[in-house]
Amino acid sequence: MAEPRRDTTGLLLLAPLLGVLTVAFLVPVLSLVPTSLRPYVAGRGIGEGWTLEHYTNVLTDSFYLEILARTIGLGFVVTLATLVIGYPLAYILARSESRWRHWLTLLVIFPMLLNLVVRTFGWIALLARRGLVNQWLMGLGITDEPLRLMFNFTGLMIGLTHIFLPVMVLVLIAVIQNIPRDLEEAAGVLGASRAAVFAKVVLPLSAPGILAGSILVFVLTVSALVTPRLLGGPTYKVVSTLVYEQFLQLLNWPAGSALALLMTAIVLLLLWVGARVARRWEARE
Amino acid sequence: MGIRTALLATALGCALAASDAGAQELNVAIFGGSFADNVRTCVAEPFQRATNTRVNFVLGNSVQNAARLRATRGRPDVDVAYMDLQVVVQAKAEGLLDQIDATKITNLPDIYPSAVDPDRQWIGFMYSATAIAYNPRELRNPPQAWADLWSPALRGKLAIGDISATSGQHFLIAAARLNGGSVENVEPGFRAIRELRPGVVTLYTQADQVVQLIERGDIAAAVWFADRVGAAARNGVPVAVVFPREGAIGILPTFAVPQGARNKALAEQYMDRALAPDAQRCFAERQYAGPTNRKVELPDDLAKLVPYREAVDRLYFPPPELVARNLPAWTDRWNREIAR
Amino acid sequence: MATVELRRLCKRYGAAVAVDRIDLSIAEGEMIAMVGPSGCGKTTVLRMISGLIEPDGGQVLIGGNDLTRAPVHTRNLGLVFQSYALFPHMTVFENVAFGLRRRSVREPDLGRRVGEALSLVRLDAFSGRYPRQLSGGQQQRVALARSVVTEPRVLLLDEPLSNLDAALRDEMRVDLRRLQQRLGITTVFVTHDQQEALTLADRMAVMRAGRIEQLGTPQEVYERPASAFVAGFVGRSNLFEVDATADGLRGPDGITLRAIGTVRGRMRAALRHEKLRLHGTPPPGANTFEAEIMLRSFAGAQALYVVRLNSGPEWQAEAPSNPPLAEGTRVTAWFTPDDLILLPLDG
Repeated sequence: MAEPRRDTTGLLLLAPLLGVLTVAFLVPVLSLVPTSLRPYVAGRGIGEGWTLEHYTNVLTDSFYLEILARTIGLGFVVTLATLVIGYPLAYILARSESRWRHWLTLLVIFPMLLNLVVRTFGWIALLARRGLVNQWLMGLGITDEPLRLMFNFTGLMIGLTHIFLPVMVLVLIAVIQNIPRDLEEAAGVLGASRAAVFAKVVLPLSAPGILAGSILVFVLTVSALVTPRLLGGPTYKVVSTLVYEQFLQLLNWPAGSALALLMTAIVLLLLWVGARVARRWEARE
Repeated sequence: MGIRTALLATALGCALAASDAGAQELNVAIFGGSFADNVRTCVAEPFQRATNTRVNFVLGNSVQNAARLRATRGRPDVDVAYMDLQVVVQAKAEGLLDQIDATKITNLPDIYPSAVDPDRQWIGFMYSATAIAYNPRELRNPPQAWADLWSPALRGKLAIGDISATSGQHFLIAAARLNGGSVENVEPGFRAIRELRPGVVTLYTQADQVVQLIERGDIAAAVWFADRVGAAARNGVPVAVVFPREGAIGILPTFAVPQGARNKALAEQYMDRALAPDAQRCFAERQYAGPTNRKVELPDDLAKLVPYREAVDRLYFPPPELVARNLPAWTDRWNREIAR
Repeated sequence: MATVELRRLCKRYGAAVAVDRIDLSIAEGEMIAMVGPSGCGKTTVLRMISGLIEPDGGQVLIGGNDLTRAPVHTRNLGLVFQSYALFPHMTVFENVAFGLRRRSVREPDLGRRVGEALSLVRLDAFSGRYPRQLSGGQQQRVALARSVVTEPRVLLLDEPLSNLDAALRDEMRVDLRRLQQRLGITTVFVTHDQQEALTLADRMAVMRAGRIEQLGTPQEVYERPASAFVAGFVGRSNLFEVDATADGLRGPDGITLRAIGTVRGRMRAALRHEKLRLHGTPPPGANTFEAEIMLRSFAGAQALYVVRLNSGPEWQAEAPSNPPLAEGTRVTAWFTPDDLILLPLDG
């Protein structure tokens, strides 16, 4: 049997994409590096010389560390939520033979066609103190006082999960559709119950999709700006809103750059760890 | 990373605007919304007719406009930039502004001296104030002073601005002064607002949020801008303004010419037009802006709504350099102590 | 090992009837082929036996037990898919072990039984490979090993050889038959290839439009097709209509024919290509015709000819390729009366 040969054709084919990535991602991010090392005097602007103070300020301050941790926690929770809700949805849509399938898929994608601000305002209408959810809860006598559903972790989690669910579902549908139905049937004939078919065949074979979808949703969540600004408000900040504040409210570009770069570094580190874990898992299977 | 796209988008937007070829063009970085509409009606359109110049608006808030000047230092893509006072002083400190030729501004002698930079790098074109807005249907006895906002009657009925909004910064200063502090010592202000915080419904970040809050009945009073109150009341929102007894905090929006502007002479002509009595009166009627030109006569009903003549004297204008220098520290402390 | 019995088995898809009241009894250890053109319902029958499709009516009995509604994974059957359906994320060993693990078979039994199954298909050396590292024939054998390792009561094969190239197919055909006989396992396989059915099966069921047109040993079906459809589908025949008249049997273009059996009115007749002979001397009483070779195509030991009889109908003949008959040659074409298969007109 021929061993899979490593040649350069693949790399050449990837070259244009790598070029685009370099220009669209690497160059802008790296251009922040020198800015992040400049001192900044409020009211005077960006100074000369070099300093690490913007990095040390963030890393030694429990306020910033809490926001960093909260942002990454939010990323994990939203990723998990989209996965738990999205997987069954994607499975049904990928396997359904109903003629409504295309309409159902459209229904899942539909929110993506709406403006992000519109969708977020929809959630504000639902989650506000006097919003629909609280009206129902109080109308049904479940609570007496309106629950705080906005400007906190809950509100952001609900809003971001809804907004990024279609991304997860679309990635998973593509992967699940690629798993031949024969494999599930074969496993069934060989004596696997539905649960075993899922655990031993469908789940491992959709692992690449789970990983891709999770990375996508995680990155989108930790870098989301509009929704956290609207649903989190000034009282519940995440890293992206802090960066925004530094850049566009305080004109402190060096601090904003340092914060953005730190976040990027943390995310890249997490992705690297995730990819390694996934590779090990794959090798074990 | 959303900022990058925002910066990119604005850069793209201005590239498009600049590519529009014409005989004379003036690019103006200006605040958005009804503000831009009213400037177009009162200033830009008459100016276009008189000088056969095409005026292009590039929309952004004060800080975004300053950021634009910083990013294009020396080679600005705008000829006039609108900025609030504490932002324009920072732009000045960073050397981003050019000196305005006093001889070209024929209306300059009529402008209140407090509205003109001693180095003539910026000119204030309107007065407004951070004051108290209230819903007259809900409050029989509206608050008359900043101190009244701490009254138990307003618990759970009050909104204040976040520190990112000018009104939040101003309220902090007002609260400090009320309790024996000052711009240089805001400690008493933080203490007072911390005490007020549990009764505050929300810290708004966008001025327009207040309209919704009042209309939905979520609040009965707010720390808000006088000109916004006038505009909202005209649109049927149940809201009225009180200039608090201890003194409302003055707002002085300004414009300036960036260092290296391509059409400086034209920019000065534009400013002169904006400072002319008819334009100032037009802007007062539409934007509820107090005129900075003392020659402007306003009818009584309008005079009550805007900072005008003696009312201007009662405004407190915090030293902008001090505000600009302290704002990062205030923001940091506010985020930790108030906004959480 | 068990018997399989299908009783009035039905399956509809909307208005279309895929399987129409099929009855079939399969003996223990028997190998049965379901053949027919695509869409005749043969795969649907196989999937109803396996439990992957639930019948709309009728019963499936395996070993005498009614399993019509039993869930797939409880039936203990083996099924080899046309695509093989090997698990791409598992090694050959794990693929074969899959069914055993579901039955909680543990080491050392597990390893021993997987090893036995792999040596049965001569793949002992490949247990660490992944399916993508195997050729089509090897994948096929893994699929086979995987489905017999659990000692299923019945082995089902869906077009097992259709994805292999011709040489490999012949080899696998022999392997398959040998394996089935060694294990003595009741086997049902589906194929559209009549040759496969003829060579492999103990009995074959020729299906058409959801019904079994004929059930019998390959020889019976080949030599005594029950209908023109079967005659056309199994083996290659010249098909034509005949009329019984006062002075004998008339074929196309008025040729006179002799046949065995009673002929009444208009009937359909089938003559196997290899029964129309172009060499040798016809025995007395044979149907003989003056014929001209119109076309000749070489096919190894045999050659296929198109011949025109008495300047009338054009028929096809299969004859030894040696001595060759050139196009345009005039020959005597003949067949004996019992070579002519008479069939009812309908169907």
